[in-house]
Amino acid sequence: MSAPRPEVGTFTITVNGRIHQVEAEEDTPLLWVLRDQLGLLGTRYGCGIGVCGSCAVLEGDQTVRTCRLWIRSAAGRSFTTIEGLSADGSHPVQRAWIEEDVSQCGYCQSGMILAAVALLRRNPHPTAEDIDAALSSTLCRCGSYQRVRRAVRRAAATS
Amino acid sequence: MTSTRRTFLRLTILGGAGILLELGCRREPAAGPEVPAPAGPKPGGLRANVWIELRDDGTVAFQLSKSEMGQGIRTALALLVAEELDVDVAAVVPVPASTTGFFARTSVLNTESSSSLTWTWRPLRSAAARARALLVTAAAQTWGVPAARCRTEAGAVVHPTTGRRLTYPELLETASRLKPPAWAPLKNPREFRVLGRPVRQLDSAEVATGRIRFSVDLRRPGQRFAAVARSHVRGSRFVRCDDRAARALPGVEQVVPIHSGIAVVADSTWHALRGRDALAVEFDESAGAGVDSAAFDRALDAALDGPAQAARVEGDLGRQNARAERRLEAVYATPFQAHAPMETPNAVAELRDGGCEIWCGTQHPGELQQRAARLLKIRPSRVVVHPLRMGGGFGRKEAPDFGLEAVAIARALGDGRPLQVVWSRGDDLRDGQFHPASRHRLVAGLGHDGILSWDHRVASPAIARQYYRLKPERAVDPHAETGGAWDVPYAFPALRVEYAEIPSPVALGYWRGVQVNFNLFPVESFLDEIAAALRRDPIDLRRAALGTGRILVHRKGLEVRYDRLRRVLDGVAERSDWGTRLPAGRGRGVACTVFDGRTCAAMVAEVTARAGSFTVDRILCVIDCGLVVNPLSLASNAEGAVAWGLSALRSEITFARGQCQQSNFADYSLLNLAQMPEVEIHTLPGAESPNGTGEIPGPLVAPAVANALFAATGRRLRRLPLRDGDLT
Repeated sequence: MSAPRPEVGTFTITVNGRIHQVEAEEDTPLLWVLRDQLGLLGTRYGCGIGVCGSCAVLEGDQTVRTCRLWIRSAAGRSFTTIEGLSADGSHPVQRAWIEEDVSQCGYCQSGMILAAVALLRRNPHPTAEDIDAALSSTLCRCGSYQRVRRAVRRAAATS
Repeated sequence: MTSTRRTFLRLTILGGAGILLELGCRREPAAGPEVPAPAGPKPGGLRANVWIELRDDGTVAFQLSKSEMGQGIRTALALLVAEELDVDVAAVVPVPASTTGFFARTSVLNTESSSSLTWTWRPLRSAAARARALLVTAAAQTWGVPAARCRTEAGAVVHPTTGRRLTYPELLETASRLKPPAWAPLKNPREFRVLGRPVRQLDSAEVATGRIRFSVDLRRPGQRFAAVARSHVRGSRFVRCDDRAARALPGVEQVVPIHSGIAVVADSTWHALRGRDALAVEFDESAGAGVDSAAFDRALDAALDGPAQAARVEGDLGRQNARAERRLEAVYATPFQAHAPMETPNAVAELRDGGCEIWCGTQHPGELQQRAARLLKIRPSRVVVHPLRMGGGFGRKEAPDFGLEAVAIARALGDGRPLQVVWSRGDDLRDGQFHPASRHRLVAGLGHDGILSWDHRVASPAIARQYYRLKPERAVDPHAETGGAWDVPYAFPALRVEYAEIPSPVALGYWRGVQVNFNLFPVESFLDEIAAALRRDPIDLRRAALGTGRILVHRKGLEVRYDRLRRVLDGVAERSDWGTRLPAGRGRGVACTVFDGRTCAAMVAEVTARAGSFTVDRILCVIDCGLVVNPLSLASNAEGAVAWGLSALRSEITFARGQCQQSNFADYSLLNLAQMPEVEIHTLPGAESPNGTGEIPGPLVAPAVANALFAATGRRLRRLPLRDGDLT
C-alpha cells in the first residue's frame, strides 16, 4: 500500500535569467515549482499530460511542457516564462498579440505566445502551414485561432 | 436555449430609472480593486450611486456585474460607462461586484444565456448618466449658469459660452453636497463616440505579459489547497478509504470526508493533487450498473415513439398531411458533450466569525451564495461571494458544486484559513456535468413545391429537471428543452413540436448554446433534405417558408422578426456567392436561426470532401444582434463560437458502468489551430439596443457543415459526431 516516498532534493534552475535553488521532491513537475514555489503564475495548468500546451515555457528555440518535466530533469537548465519574455510587453510577439486583439479568456495565451516565439526563433518566415504545424498542439477552448494566425504573421513581418 | 431556464431566478430590471437602492452621496474610500489587492494608498472617491464611483484621481470605478470569461463583457461594460460619462475608457475601472447590497439579489450577477449586454444596457448606462448629471449640476452651481448650457467631455464639465472648465475630480467636493438625481436621459445612439467602434480588450497587455490573474491564481494569507477524490458514478456510496499513503506524502496535512468525496488538504496545489491520487478509496458504484451509452441510445430511440408533451401545435396536421403529395421522414442523433474550460473548476472559501466568504470564477454568484448558506445553515447575508475572472466558463461554472466543495472542506477544517479546492482535468471531464444527448424524428408533408406540415419530436434528458431539482411526478417545461425546435421561425401551414424526456442517471449542465445545439442540427438539416426532395435551392426554400412582418411565436411574447431573418439570409447568400458553381468535391451549406426571439443569424459553410474525409474550408456568418457595442470583440467571440461548434462536430462523451469514459484531451478532443477554417463574421447595422451573440454561431455549424457535405458528396449525415468514414 505504501508507495516509496519521493526523494527530496535541491535543484538549481535558471528562470527568466535568475538562478533559483529549489527544494522539492525530485518528481515535482516544473509547472508546480514555477507556480507553487517561485510565484510565477503565468504558466498554467490545463491538462497535466502535456497535451494542451498551457504549461509551456521557452527553452532556447523550443517550448517545454512543464507539467511533464520533473524538477530533477529540469535541473541545470534555463527557461523563460511568459513573465520573462520582456520587461514591459514589448516583445514583437506580445505587441502583435495586443495589436490583433487575440486573447479571449487569456488562459492558454501564455503557452500560445511562447509557442509562437519559439516558432519564430526557429523559422523567422513561417508559411501558413508552418504556423499551423507549430501551434496546433496548443489548445484554445475559446477558439482564438484565427487571430493567433494573424498575430504570428504580423510578428514575423515586424521582427 | 430559451429564457425559461432562468424563470425561477429571474430579476426584472425595469427601464432606466429603476435602480432601487441608492446609498446616497458621500465621500468614501474607493471600492477595493480586483484581486489581489494592490500596493499603495487607495484613492478617495464619491459614490454617485450603487454602480458608479467617481474617484479623485480622475478614474471612474463601476460595479462589474457580469463576469469576464473571454466573452469581452468587462471591456464592453466599461465602454458603456465611458460613453455616458464622457471619459476615456482607459480611465474606467471595472470592479467585480460581490454579492452584497444591491448586488445580493439572486440573479443580478448571473453571466449566462448570452444576455449580459441585454440586461445591463439600461441600468449601467442610466447609472453613468445620473453620475454625469450630478457633476454637471455641481459645475453649473459653481459657475452660476444653467446646467443645460454645460457639456461634458474628456472627464470634465465645460461651459462653452465662457470657456470655463472643471474636471470631475475638481467637482467631487461640491457634488458630495448635492442630492443625486433620480433620473437622467441616456445618450442618443446617434451621438455615440465610442460605442460601435472597434476597441481592443482592456486587459490584453496583462494577458500578453502573463500578469492576468484567474480564479485559480488567488492566493490569500495562510491559504491551503485541496483536491477531492470522488466516485465518477453519480449516486454511488462511499465504502472506505485508506489514506496512509496520502498522509505520508510531503505537504499533505489533512484528509477529510465531505459530501462529494474525500478531500486531501495540503500546502500546495501539487501536493494536494498528488496526495489525492495516493488515496485508496472504495465506493459502491452499483448505481452505475447498466448506465452506459448503449442504454442511453435505446432509451432515446424508444422515446421517439412513446408519450410526449406538446411544445407547440399550429394548424391542422392531419388535414395538411392528407393533402401532401409526399412524406419525408428522418431520425437525427447528437451525443453528450463536456464543457472543458481550459481553467478547470476551482474555488476558495474562508469561514470566520460565523460567516463565509467565497472567491471563485462563477457564472452564478448569487446561487452559490444561497446554496452555501443552506449548507452552513446560516443566513445568506452572512455569505459573500466574490466572482473572479474565469479561464472559460461556457456554462460549466454556473454550477455551485466546486464552490460548495471549498465551503465544505473549509468547514471540516474549522481553522478559519482560506481553502482552495482545485479540480484536475480528469475531475473536470468526469465529475462535472454533461451536455445531454438527443434523438429526433422529423416528418414533413410536402406539397408540389412547398412544405405543408412539419412534425418534430425531440427526445433528450431534461437539464431543467436536475437544475431545478424537480420531483419525478412534475413535468418539465417542454419549451426549455426544445429551444431551436419549438421556436422555428418558419410559417408552416401545420406544425407540431413535441418533447419526450428520458431520465438521466448522469449529471447534466448548461453548455454553450444548450439545446439549440442539438435542435438546430436536425431542423436545419431536415430543411435541406426537403429542399433536395423538392429540387429547390435551400436558401430559396427558407425564404419561401418565412412568414411576413412580425409574428408572436408564443404567449411569452417571443417575436420573430422575419424581415431581420430575411436580411441575414440574404446577406450570407450574397457574401458566399451562393448559387455559383464549386469544383467537384466541394460544397456549400446554409443554416439560420433566431435565438431566443432576439438575435438572428445565418451561416454558410464551405467544405472539401475527398477520399472519405473532409475539411471545412470557410465559415461565413451574418449576424443581426441589434446594436453592436464593440465590433472587434463581437467578431472574436463569434469566431470562438464557430470553433466551439466545429469542435463539437467531432467530439463526444460516452459512458460505461455509469462513468464518463473520457478523462483528458487525449480522448476528448478539442479543435486545434490547424483545423480552424477561415471565418468571416458580418453584422447588420441599425438598431437601438444590443442582444447577445456568444451562443448563436455555434449551433449553426453542425447543420451548415452537414448541408455542405451533402452538397459536396450527396451523402446525408444525421448523426453527430461526424467521422471521416461516414462519407464513404
